[in-house]
Amino acid sequence: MTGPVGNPRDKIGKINDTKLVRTLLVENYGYSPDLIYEIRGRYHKVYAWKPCPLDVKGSERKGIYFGRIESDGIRLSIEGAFLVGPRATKNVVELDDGRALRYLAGEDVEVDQAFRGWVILRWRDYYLGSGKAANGRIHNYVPKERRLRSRA
Amino acid sequence: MSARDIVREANRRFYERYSKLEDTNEFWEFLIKPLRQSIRINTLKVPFEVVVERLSEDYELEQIPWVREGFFINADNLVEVPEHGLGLIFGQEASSMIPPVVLDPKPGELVLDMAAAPGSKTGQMAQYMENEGCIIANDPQLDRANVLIANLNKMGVLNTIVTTRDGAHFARYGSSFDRVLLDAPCSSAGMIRKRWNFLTAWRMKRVLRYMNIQKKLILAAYRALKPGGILVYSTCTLDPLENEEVVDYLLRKTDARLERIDLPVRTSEPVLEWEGRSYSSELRKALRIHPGDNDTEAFFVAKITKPGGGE
Repeated sequence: MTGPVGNPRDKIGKINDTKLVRTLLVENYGYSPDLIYEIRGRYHKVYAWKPCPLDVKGSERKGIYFGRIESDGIRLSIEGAFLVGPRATKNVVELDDGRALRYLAGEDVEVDQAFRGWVILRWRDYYLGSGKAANGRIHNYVPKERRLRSRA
Repeated sequence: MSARDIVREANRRFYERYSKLEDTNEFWEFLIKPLRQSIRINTLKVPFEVVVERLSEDYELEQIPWVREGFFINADNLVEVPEHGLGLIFGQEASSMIPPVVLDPKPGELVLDMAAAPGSKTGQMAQYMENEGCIIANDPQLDRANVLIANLNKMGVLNTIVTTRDGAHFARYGSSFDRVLLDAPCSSAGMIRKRWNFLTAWRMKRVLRYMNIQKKLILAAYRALKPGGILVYSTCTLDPLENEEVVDYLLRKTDARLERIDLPVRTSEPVLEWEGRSYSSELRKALRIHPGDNDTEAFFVAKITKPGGGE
């Protein structure tokens, strides 16, 4: 339940993006998928992809939004959590059906007090992204456009 | 008012043109009947069986016969389904799942998706490729490419580069791609069930404009294909000028061949004569799907091979 030492954002641009992201993933979740990673923009967003043998000049975009470098670790998007979660060895919080559906709807949910910092949320065989654990609650990070709407 | 009268009143020229294609009550009824909600299960994140089992707890799933990952679902709105927000299912019209099944890309191959937005077929191909190899997903319109990027992101597609070129640009990659999908921009006369505006806004001059674009694109797609490679040409329109005419043009201009498509899908007869034009009898191998055939949108799919490649 311990995070990395120091602010990882301070290392952006000083070491290779892929190396930095993979180090943070291992520190935070115990596993890092073998992908190419790039940190983009002022929000330190992480994008991930696999190499392509064809050189396409003027290509617009590679990669999926994988997560974000935070001042105290790495937060995973839903897609990042599906890539890391199945082989993660630490900081994975299991949610029951009730809490998972509330979390997907955008609510904070209660968890064991022992969890602190960035955790992957797991519901059955699904991964719901990273949330931040503090004081027995998980702060919600499901993007608004992907939240579960209740049936009318 | 009958379906026939409704269509005739909404757009008389549309009615007159396509009544020459098929003129049964059933044809007009299915052309305007609301679509059934269909989904494709995205296997890039979680195994197929896991998603089917969880969904089956809350919903009735009816298998779409021509695609293993395709189901009709009794959900009124997909935003109420947890798997939708998680990118484990994708709303995709049942007949639009056919072109990637026919193309059948394999892990490790190099694939061109020439008119890719909104990306449902790109994602379907990526799952057949198990996220290995590479797809160049192109769409020349930036706003459509942004939708494509968002959808590929949600599906967890890792093996794709998105480009915003004119599709004809890819001719210069001559003989590079193992497989090419050209799901061509079209007049969308087969998609009225999805959007009524496709009927009211239909004009003959748009059919002709799209036909010219499609001919340019299909030649470029064929040039980008490796010898021995496969090109799938598809549209969601009924018009023979955007379907049989375009594929016939490719057959006349190149050494392209058509391959028979073997799928459990009901079809209508391809058009071999239209407005004084005659098309190659090879076009019998293409799939012409009218809305009443399978209670879906209309679709046209042709599987084209390039000779060579040591086969």
